[in-house]
Amino acid sequence: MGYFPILLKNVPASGTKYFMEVFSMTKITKRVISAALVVMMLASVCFAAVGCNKSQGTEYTYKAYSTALGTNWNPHTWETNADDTILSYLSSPFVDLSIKNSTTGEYQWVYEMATSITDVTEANQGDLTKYAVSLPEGQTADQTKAGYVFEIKLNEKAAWENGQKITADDYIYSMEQLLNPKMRNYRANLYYNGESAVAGGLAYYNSEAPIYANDWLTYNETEEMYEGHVAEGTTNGDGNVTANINGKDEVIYFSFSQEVPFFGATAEFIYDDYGYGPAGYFNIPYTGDTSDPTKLPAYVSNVAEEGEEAVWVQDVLVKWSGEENAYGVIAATPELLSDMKALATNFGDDNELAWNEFAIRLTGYGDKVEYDKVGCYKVDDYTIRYVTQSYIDLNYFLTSCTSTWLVYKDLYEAGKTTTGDLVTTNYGTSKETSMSYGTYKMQSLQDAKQVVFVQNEKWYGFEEAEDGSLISYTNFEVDGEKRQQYQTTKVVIDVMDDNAAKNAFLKGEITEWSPAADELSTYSYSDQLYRVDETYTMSFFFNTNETALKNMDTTKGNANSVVLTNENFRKAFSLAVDRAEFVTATQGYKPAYSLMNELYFYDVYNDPTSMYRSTDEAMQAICNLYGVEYGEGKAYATLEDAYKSITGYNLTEAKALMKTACDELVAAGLYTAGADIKIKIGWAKGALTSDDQKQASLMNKYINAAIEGSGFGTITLEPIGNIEDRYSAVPEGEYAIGYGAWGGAAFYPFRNFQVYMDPAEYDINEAANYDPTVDTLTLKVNGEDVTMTWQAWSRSMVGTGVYAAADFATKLAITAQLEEAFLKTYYRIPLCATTICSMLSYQCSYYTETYNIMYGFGGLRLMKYEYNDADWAKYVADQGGTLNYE
Amino acid sequence: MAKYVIKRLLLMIFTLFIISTICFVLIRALPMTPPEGSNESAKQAILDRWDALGYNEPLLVQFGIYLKNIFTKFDFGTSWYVSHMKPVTELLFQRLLPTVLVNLYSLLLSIPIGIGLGCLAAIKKNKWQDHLISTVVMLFVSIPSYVYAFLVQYFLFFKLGWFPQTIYSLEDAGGWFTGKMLYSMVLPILALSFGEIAGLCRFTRAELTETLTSDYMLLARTKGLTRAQATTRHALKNAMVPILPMIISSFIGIMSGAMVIEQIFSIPGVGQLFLQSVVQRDYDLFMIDSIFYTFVGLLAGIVVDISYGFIDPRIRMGEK
Repeated sequence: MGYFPILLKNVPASGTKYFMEVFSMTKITKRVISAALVVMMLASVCFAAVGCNKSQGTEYTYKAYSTALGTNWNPHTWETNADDTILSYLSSPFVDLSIKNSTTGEYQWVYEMATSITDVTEANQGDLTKYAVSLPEGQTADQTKAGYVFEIKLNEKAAWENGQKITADDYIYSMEQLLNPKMRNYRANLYYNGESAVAGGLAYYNSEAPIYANDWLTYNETEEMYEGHVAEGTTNGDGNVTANINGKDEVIYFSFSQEVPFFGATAEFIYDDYGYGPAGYFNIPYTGDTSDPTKLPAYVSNVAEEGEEAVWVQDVLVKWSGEENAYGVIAATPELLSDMKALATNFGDDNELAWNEFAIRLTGYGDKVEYDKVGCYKVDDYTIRYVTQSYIDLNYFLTSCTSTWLVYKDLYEAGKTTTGDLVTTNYGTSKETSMSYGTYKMQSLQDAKQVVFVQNEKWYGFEEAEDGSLISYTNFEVDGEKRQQYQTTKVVIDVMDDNAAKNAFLKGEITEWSPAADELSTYSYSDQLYRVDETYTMSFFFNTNETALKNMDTTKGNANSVVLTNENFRKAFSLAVDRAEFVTATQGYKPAYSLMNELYFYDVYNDPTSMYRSTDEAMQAICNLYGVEYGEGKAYATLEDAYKSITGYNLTEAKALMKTACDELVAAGLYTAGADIKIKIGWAKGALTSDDQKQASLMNKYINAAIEGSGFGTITLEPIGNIEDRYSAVPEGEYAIGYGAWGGAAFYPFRNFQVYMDPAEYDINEAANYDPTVDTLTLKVNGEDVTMTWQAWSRSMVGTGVYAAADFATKLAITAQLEEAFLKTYYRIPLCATTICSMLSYQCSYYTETYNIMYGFGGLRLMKYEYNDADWAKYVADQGGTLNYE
Repeated sequence: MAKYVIKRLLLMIFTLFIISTICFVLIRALPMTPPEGSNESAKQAILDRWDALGYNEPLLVQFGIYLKNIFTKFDFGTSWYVSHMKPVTELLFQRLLPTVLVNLYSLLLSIPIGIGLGCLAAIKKNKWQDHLISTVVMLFVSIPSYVYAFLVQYFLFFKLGWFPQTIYSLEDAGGWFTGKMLYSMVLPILALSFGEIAGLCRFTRAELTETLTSDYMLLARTKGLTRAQATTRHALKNAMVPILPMIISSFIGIMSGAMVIEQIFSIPGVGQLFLQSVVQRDYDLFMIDSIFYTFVGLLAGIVVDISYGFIDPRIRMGEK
C-alpha cells in the first residue's frame, strides 16, 4: 500500500489518452478492431437487407398464434385443443355445417368426405343381430326400422395429399386401428362409448382384457356371512402376497374401484359416504406396526369419543388408490395386506381373515374378439356401413360425422412401436408422419415454434386458375349464390406469448388476437371485436358432506364451513349473488341462472330455432326455481315475461333464508351464533389473476350483505389458485367449494345431466353430497309419476334409455324437470356463462357479423380478404407501422 | 495431473448417478392424474397407457428398466406430452441449438464490452468515468433480464420497428446460420447481454484494480516499462487468472437455457423443456434434462478447475 501514491503519481494527465494507449499497443489489436468495425458495418447492411420482408401479391396468409403448438394430431390419440387445431387443417369431415341464409341464421349440412349418409336400418335388420346391438326392452330386430344402421357413401374424389385415392378400405383399416385393444387409443372412447358408439366396438376394444374377481368366497344366506376364507401364504419373488386358492398359490389383488364382497360395492363409493374426517373408517392409526390388527381399536369412532391421542393420519384409500393399475387393481404387498386387515378391523369385523372379502384374483382373460364383430364394414369401394350400438336419430348421427377417424395406413404402420404390451404409433406427430386429406397440407413444422400450412392441391374442392393459383367455390348456395371458399392460401401459426401477440397484432403481423379480459374495455367499441358465447356455465359447486366439512374445518384451514350442509344457506347464497353486477367486474362473462344457456338446441337438424332454453318447459323450470310467477293477478302476464325478468338476485329473500339457516344450524349444534366463517374455494387451475380476485371480492360482498342480521358471523371466502384438479378436489374433501364450468354437447341437451348424475361416465363434482346411483327422484312423464335413480334419469334419453326414442315433448319435459330438481338441491349454483372475444385484422373479414353456433361467423371457409399480403404490408406501412383498433 | 483428472471424472460419474437416482425417485413420487375434465373412458385409456409403460411398477423396478434401456439400447425414453412420441434425446438436442446460438452470440458480444468497460473503470478508478460505469453496472446487475427483454421489445420492435420481436422460424429465416436468423436474434441477444456485460465489467474492474496496486507493478514501472506496457503485460494478465475461468464457465453454461427470455422471444430452446417436463410429468424428458444439465454442471466444474493450471502454471492441482 505504501507504493500506491507513487503509482498514482505516474498516471498520465490524460486518462483517456492513457487508456487508448493501452488498447492501441499492437498492430494486431488495431487489425482486430478494424475487422470488428467492418463486420459490424456488413452486418448492418445485411440486417437492413433481410429486414425488408417480401410478400407475394397473390398470397392471402392467415397468421394465427398460440402459446403452444400441438404435438399429436393423430385422430386416434390427440388430446389438446392445440392438437385438434392442427388436425382440423389436415382433415375433412364427412359432413360440415355452413351458412344457408346469413340474415335469418339458417344453416345447412354440407357433404364433404361423404356424398350421402342414410339410415338403412330397415333394409339391414340382420346387422342388428350380427353385431349384437342394444335394443330397447321388448323390441326385436325385425321390428326395428330406424336408428341403427347408417350407410355412408364416400366422396370418390377424395384423395390423400400424395394423390392416392381414399376408399372404404382406408376407413375400415382406420377404425380397426382406432379400436385396437393393444393400442389403448385415447380417442377410441368416441367410437365405443356414447350415443353414436359403433356396435361391438367396446367388446373389441376390451378383447382379451384380464378379469379380476373374488370367486373363492361363498355367501351363506342363513348365517348372512361369507364362507371359504383362506389364510395368506408366502410372498413371491415380486414381493406380492399369495394365498392358496383351490389348491394353487395365487397372487392376491385388492381394489378400491371394483366391487368387492365386503362392501357389496366399491370401496370408493363407501369412502365417499363415510370416509371423511379423522374418525373416518378408512383412517387407521399409525402405530409404527399395523401388522397386528388386534392392537387396533374395534371402531375408530369409539377411539375418538374416548379422546385417545392416536395419530389418525393414514388414509388407506388415499394411500393406495393411486397404485391401481389400468384395470383398477393392486397386487398385494405385505404392507397393503396389513393396511387392509386394519381397515377390516375399523369396520368392526373381528374375523382375522376378513381381508379376503376385499380381495380378488386374476381369474382369466376375456374372450378374443375379432374385428368382424365390429359394426363398421365395407359395402363396396366407396360405401361403408356404420352400425350403432344403440338407437340414434339420423340427425344426431350426422352431428357425430363432423369428423372422421381416417389415418394413412403406410405411415401409421411404419410408425408403430411396442413398449411392454402397448403398441403405439408416431403417426401425426411430425410433417413426415402426417398425410393430409383436408383443405390444407403441412408445409413445415418447427417444434415449439411454428407450423405452416398451404393449400392442398389434391383436395377435391380445388381447381387450378389461369394464373396457377388454386381456387374453390362452394358446391352449395350461401345466401342464394355459390361463393368462393378457402381464399386463404397459407396458414401460419406462430408460438408466442399473449403480450407478444398483442404487439404483433397491432403491427399487422397476425390476423387474429384474443385480448385478455382486462384489455377488452379498450377495444369494446371496435368493429373488429367479435364476441362468441360459449356453452360453458361457470358455477360454484359444493361439498355438503357434514363429516367432510368438519374435517376441512380442522385440517384444511376452513372455519365453520359446515354451514354448507344447510340447504337454506346455499339457496340464500345463490339469491345473494347479483349476477348482473358480477359479470361486469370482468370482461368475458354473461349472467347465468341455469345449467344450460341459449346455445343448446334440441332438434338442430329440422329446426334451427329449436333452442332448449326458449321452450316453455325450460323457462317454467327456471321460473319455479327462482319463484317467479305469472298469469292473472301476478307481476308478469306471460311465462316468457316472467322468465325474462329473472336476475337470480333477491337480497330480501336471501336475508330471510340466511336467518332460517342460522337458526337451523345452531339448533342442530353445528354452528355457534356469531362465529366467523372462513371457506376456501378451489378457484382455478392456474395462478389467481386480478380478475379472479375481483370476482372473489364481489362474492364476499354479496354473501356478507345477505347475512346481515341473520346471526352468522363474518364470512370470508378465500379463492385458491394453482389447483391441479379442482373438480376432484371438492368431492375428495380438499375444498368445500369449487369454481368451474361444464358445457359442450350443444346439439343434444338431453344427455347433459350425466355430468352431474352419472358416476359411471364422469367424475361427479357433487359426489360427496349424494349418490345418484341410489338416490331416487320422481318426475312427471306424460301425466304419470315415474321414479328412478338420478343416474337412470340422466341416462334415460340416451342409447337404450327408456325415453331415448321418445318424442321431443316428452324429452323436453323430463330434461326441464331434471334441471329444476337438480338446481333445487343447491349442490351447484350457476353464476355466469363464458364468452370468447377476439379481434380480427383489417386485412380480412368474416362472411357474417352475426354469430351462430352452427357455423360461427362462416369460418375460414368463407373468410374474405380485403388485402393480399403485399397490399397489407403496404397498408400497415402507410399507417406508420402501428394499427389502431380502438 | 492425469491421475487428478481421472479421479475427478470418476467422482463426477458417481455424483451424476446419485443425482439421477434422486431425480428419478422424486419425479415419479409426484402424483400423476389424467387430464382435468376427461370422461371416465378417456381417463381409462390414459391409465392403460401408464400401466403398459410400467408406471405402476415399484420404483426400483422402474428404475431398473430405465437403466437397462440406457445401457443396452442407449434409449433414454420417449416424450409423451411435450412432444408426443419423440425420442427425448432427439428432442433435447433439437432444442439445444437455438439456445446455444443465442447464448453464444450474447457472450461474444458481452466479453469484449464487459472486459473493456471493466478495464476503463479500473484505470479511471474514482473518476467520473468509473462512477458512471459502476452506477450503470449496478443498475444492469440489479434488474432481471426479462425487464430488458420487454424494454428492447417495446422500443426496438414496437416503437421503432427496427427488429422483429421474436426470432424467426427456420421456415422464415432459411436456417439457423443465416443473416436473417442472426438479425431476428438481436433483441434476445441484447436482453441477455446487458446482465453479462455488467457482471464481467464489475469483476474485471475489481480484479484489475487489485493487480494495478500490486508490488510487481511498481517493480515493472521502475524497470522502465511504460504504464500501458505494465498494465497490458502484467496487470491485465494477472487479473485474467480468475476472469478466464469465469468466461470458460459461461461458455459451458451457454447450453443451459434462459427460460423467461426464451418464452418472451419465442425461442424454441431448452429453457422451457425442464419446466414443461415437470408440469406435464413427462418422466423421460425430465430425466434426460436432469442428467444432461447435471453432467454439464459437473463437467464445467472440472474444466474450470483444470483451466487454472493452464492459465497460471504456478497452480498445480493434485500434486503435493
